[in-house]
Amino acid sequence: MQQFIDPLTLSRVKDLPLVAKIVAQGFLHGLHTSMQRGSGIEFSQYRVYEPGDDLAKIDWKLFARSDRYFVREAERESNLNVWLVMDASESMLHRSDAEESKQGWTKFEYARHLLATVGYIAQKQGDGVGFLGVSSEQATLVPANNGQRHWQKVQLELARIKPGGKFPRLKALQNQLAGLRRNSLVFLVSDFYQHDSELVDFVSNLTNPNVEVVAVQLTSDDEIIFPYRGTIRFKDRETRQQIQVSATQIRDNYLKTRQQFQSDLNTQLSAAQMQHLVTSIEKPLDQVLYDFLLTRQKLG
Amino acid sequence: MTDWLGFAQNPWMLITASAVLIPLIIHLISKSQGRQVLFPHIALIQHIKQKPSSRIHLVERLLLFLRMLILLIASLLLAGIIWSPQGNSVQEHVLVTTDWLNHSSQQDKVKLAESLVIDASNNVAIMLDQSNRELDGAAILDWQFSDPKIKQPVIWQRLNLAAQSFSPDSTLHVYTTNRLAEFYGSKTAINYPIEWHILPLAVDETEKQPVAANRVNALLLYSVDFVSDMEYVKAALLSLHAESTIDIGVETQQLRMDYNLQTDPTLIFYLAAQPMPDWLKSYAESGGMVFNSMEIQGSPNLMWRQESPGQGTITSLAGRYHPIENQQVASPAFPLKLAHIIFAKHSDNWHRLEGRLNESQITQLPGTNVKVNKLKPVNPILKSWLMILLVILFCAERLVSERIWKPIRSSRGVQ
Repeated sequence: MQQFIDPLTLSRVKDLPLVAKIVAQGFLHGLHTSMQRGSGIEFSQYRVYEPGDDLAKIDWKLFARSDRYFVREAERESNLNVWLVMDASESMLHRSDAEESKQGWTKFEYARHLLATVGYIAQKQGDGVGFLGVSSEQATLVPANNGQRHWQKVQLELARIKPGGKFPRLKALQNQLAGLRRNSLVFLVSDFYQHDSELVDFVSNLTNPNVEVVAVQLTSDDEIIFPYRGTIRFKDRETRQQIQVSATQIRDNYLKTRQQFQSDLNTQLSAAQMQHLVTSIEKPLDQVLYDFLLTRQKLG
Repeated sequence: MTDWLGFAQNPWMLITASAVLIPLIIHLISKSQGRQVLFPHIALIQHIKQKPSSRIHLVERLLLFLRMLILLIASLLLAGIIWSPQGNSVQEHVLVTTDWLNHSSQQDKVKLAESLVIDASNNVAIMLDQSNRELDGAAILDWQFSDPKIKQPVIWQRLNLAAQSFSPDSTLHVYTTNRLAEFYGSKTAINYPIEWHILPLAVDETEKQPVAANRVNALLLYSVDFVSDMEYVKAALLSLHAESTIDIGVETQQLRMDYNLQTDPTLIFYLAAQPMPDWLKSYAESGGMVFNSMEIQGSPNLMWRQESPGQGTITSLAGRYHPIENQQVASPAFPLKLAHIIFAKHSDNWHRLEGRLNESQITQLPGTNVKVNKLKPVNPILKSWLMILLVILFCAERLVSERIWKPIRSSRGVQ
């Protein structure tokens, strides 16, 4: 039985790289795949020269010191780039209204940790990792690259990004999207609440035979079960619009509307041949990854 | 009548009862605000058609109604309010004395007749005399001067007698003059709020008095065997008439079995061996002066014995006025003694007729009956019911409140 780490427990760990490491290592536990080595920038180890090795790879300085032939080996550089795309709009600050969830992560924090974990795994596999955090107020881009130092830069940006505004329109993101279209695996984490069709446009624009998009939609329990009663003044996090309703009266209709919204979104994403994962922020991070791999396995 | 739930009886009740507005104000404030919840995407809610708000807040209104009712009942309990068993109206009764009717102007009578139509519970006034008869407006307006009976009971006893048939929450409107004779005697507590309508009479207003101040009518009732006694007393009275300024009229009548008092004498001499008849006792009780003869055993020196049943006097004279049987009666002092008794009574009567009281002397009553104090202690049965109702309402309020708030609390994780 797979044991997952409760997100509430993880939320108490304030160190983003540590959380990513814990989750990823727990997730990868028992795989023991050996490092793939080959030509690349990042040095890995020396190996005794064997006939047939490229002479250009012999370390001549070492030969001068030791009078023996050694070949420099680098970690294998993958040509696959894993892009971590994060919706940094204000609506991602939502967390469940239930009391036990108030100490937990918001959707934004959940997305940050999920992407850090995915990035950690990708980096360990030698894939290039890129980061794009977008909102109408800011757009943070870290181009995809390999290596530990680059990974640290990605983690830094992941930790620094702040939520605010709405998800921007496609036009504003055109410059950033060029890098994502080359042999990439794009992880887009969002709540997929859009005022027009900006999010669907965004992912549709990435559709490319060389790009695989995994759309992770984050929800919270109160959005799903709508537990409110009595007169409630709902305030939109992004538009600041308010509406006063009797929650009891509208609950059934809300649930129907939400179901329709979910169904439409699923249709749109499937039409763009994307993998659509819906997960609650109350679910463990590693379970999401596990579900993701399970789905891929079925697809494969 | 307009004292609904007695709010007019105590202004503090109105202030206390205004506490019912507190939950209404809180409800209106909270209703206009609503609890704010930050939601990621209200577009999902905006498209939903809502029912009219009046239906939406039905449950909260029930709660509001319960809370207001609780405060209202609590304020009633605290204010110690009374509840009229006949509904919200108070029974009003008008009582009027003969003296008021004799001396009031036509304008006053018209006012009284009009007030009977508007205010009185049964549109009639009750005469405060021995008859207690009822007068309607027309009878009051057509009132003819009537000889006031000095001997009738004073107003306190008459009020108590008349009020015996009234309900406990009645209010009495008493129309009377300020003549001392109306109020002579000790005051008694009357457990009704009284509104006094006092007609002040001038002290010198005596021309209408039919009983002349200087006239004494003596009636001598005698049996056959008391003729000599009758003659003796008659002689004594006539000698008094001759010697004093008082006009004494003497009438003699032989006593029969079926005798009825036809005239209105000032004093009656009862000269017979038979015990005094009941009508004569009543006459004495209602203020009349009666002389009779009796045997006084064991006290040979006792000449007179005076009793005061009701408002009158019964003076018993020792012996049968016969000089042989009672030397004292035969003494020359007898006419003087007789004169003393008659003159004292006569003076007293005159004083009662001409004496006047001021308003405070009339309206200040002993006991619980204070003029303006209409507030009665709360009915204990009503109080018990109100308390039971309060407890039931409190339980209902809790249940309704829990029904509304429990799902919300559970959704927030509050236990």
